[in-house]
Amino acid sequence: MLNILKTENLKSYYIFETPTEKKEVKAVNDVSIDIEEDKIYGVAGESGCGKSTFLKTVCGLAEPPLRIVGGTIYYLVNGKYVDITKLSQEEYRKLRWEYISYIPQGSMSALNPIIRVKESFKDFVTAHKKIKDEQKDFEEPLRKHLNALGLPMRVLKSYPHQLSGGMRQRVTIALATILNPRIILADEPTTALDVVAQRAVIQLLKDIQSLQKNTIILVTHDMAVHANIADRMLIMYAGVFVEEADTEELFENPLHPYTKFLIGSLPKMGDKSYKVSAPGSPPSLANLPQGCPFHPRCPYVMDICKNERPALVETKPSHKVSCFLNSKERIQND
Amino acid sequence: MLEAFKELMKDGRFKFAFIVICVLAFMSILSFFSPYDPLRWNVVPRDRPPSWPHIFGTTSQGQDLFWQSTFAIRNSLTIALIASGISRVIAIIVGLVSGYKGGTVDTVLMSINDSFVVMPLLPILILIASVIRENLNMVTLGIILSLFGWAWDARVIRSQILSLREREFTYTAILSGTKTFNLVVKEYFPFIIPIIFATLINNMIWATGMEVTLAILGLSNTEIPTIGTMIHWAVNYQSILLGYWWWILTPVIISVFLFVALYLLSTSLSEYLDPRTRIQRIGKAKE
Amino acid sequence: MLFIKRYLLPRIVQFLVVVFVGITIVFFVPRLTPVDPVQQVISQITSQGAFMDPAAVDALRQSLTELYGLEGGMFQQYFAFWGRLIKGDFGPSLFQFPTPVMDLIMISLPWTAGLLITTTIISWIIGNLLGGLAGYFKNKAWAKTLDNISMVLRPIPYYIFSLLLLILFAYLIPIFPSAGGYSVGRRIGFNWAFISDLLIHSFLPAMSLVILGIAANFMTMKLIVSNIVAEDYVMYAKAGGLKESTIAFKYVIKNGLLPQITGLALSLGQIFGGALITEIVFSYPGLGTLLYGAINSGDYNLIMGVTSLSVIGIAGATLLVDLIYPLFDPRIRYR
Repeated sequence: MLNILKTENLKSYYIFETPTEKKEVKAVNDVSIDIEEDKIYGVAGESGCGKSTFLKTVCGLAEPPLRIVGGTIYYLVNGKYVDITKLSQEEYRKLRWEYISYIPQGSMSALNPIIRVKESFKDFVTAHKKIKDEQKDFEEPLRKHLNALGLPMRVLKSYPHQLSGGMRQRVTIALATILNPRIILADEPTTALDVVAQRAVIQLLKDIQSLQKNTIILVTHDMAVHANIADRMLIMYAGVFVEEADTEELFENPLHPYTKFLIGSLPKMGDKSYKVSAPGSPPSLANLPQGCPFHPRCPYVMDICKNERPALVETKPSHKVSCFLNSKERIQND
Repeated sequence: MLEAFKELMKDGRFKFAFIVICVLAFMSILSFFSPYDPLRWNVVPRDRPPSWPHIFGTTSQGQDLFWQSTFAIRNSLTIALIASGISRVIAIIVGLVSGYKGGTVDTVLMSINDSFVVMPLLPILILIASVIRENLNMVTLGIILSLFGWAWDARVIRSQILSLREREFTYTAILSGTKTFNLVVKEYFPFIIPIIFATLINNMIWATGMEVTLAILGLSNTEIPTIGTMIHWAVNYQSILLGYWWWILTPVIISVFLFVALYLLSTSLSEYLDPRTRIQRIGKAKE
Repeated sequence: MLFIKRYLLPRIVQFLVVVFVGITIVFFVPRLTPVDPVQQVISQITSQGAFMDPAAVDALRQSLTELYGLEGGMFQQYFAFWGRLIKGDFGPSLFQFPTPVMDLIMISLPWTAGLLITTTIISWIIGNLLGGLAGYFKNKAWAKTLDNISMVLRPIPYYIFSLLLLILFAYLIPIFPSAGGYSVGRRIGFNWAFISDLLIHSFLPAMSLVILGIAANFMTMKLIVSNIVAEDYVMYAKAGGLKESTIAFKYVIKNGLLPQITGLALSLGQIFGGALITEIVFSYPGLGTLLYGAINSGDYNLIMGVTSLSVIGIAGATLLVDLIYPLFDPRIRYR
């Protein structure tokens, strides 16, 4: 399986500077990850752990005060790995949307309010492809695409404000996939929608993935969505990934203490025991504790956890975790 | 307060504006020490270009331009302050009542308010001034200007009140039995004061502009030295044609400095107060 | 239909309110002076040498009293005043007695209208374009330079700026004529000689209005754009890899023009005042110069006429601009 997205030691911080003080919010704090093609990844974590920032950084939307402070991001372009942090503006612009697209949080206002939906589509397409014959090169494929996604043709003639929230979200998804990108980043696509619309969106994403065989990285705090659609999951905490595994494996055998709390807090059918959530609250990303970021709340905390940060290592086949507990166990088991 | 001031001084615009205003204020204070009576003519040789002891030159009426300017600045600023001060009061009352009461009261008040915003004020002020021309002393002019300069800012205050009204603490206060008046004065005022200050400066720009315009047209009491009346007399005596450039340029340059300084003061202040631009300012990554 | 009710009707009502409030103010002004205005006017006319027999003086006194609304009960006067207004009767001009005020206004009006309309449109378009681009590319050197220039020009009053232009380009470097709408003695006609003469004379006053107008529009547009750039759909367009020019024009500037249309409607009163002042500085034969002459000769009728018409005219223009707005904003056009 090819990796179509790789990051190495990626650090991206929000930097606030006044003449008197400097504040760094370490939203993405040394992340190294490999993303395979043709899979749906789910990224879970609490609000404010850096999930959205990770997505924004990876698709090149890091604008001041957010800056990439270190590390590299690789896309697989034409069989070669390209470090996009080194690309020029114009080179990167060409890659966008054709290689990697983005569905933002709150797609309510993602479309230009004063042009019709069809023209928005045209803008995004013509930015990357030349259209010689409007009918053949643009309208036909567009129609087919919308059909495949189950969207009515009338949305093309509408202005964004004339569509309902759920419809707008689906149109945004159609827009994000019009050029068959290899990776789609979806930031909380189901939040702020009613359950019926949520279901439609999830189904839509599934359909697209099976049609276009691309990779979707889906960020949401809603574990039910992950259980429904994600093939592989990433758990994020305080700016780092603390666990990575296939969805079923993660739900059945969570290794990281935080993941254990996360899974443990989900209601199960027939289970009437008390639910326990992690004590305390997540740290401020501007003021991270030394060592493992979770150690102040961890019931299994050891001395080493207070001083060193654990790396994300594979402790079981295809199951990575960043926790000294597991490394020790592994060492003990060896 | 002091930190706010220090922070503001880092903005080049505020610094420049503040220095200019200080200089002008200093000049107006100097007027109390003027060796010449501003109302009398022919106290010094006429039409002298700038030289010692008349560092700005003299006019065709035999007045020293420098000392004349000190009075002019003082009077123009006084008129502007009177006009802006009174119009603040009107704007606050209208904005508060309209924003808090809402409903029909709001609609009616805002409708009248918008009339004052849309109306061409210059012809109306000219009309009024032409009728009471001789009685137009500084206080009267200030009052008349204040009666027309409140409308725009009343809307600004009203929208602030509207957003405050929807906040949690309003409901808490009402439910705990606070009387309307107390609520408004004690709770809302701290939010309104910065707006009042910013709009005060804008209003002063407008009021001074109006005073200058009316004076140049000969519609105010031209005996009283103000920036406007100085220009009026300079134009009247054909100072341009006769080449007495110092006479026309002195009030013009002073007024340009005054207006630019007030404007920079106003923009830097409102940028400082606007939460959105504050984030931008402190989040700017240094390249 | 709903649109007409929701959008059109309130604005027409507002137009009527503006006219009502403005004209009412005009109505009450003569009462501000303790001296009898009618007597003042009559003595002024007779002292200027126009001989009138007693019957004519009485008729004039009667007419003026009616015009200034000083006879009969308050309401009666008020309605009579409105009646005259609708007929366009402001009485005779006092310093060009007995020409009706309306006639004088009609001669000057086209000059002002021409100057005002062209300069407003030009400065709105150019100012917003420059402001939009400067707001989008705000770190570029040219953007910062333009910003600084506008910051200095913006607060300068019309009179002072016009005066500076006059001194600079009509006296010190005499390129342009210093007064008038066209050269003295030239015949009016649709030939190139006349039109070019017209253009040369109107160049400086137009320049004055255009430059100050551009500075004002520049500053507001820049502020608007700086807020739009943070909007979701702009970020999304960037994520989509749209070309800079597309984003700058279709996504940012086009959206920014909408509030500027409203802004234009609100500043028409100020722009009008500025035009009047500029005309006075350049002795341009429009309403400004007419008004100035009226001030200097105490022609109260003329001042009242110009003021009343200004109120109605500006309120009408504001309504017009308001009505244009839905053409550009689909959110208003379609529910």
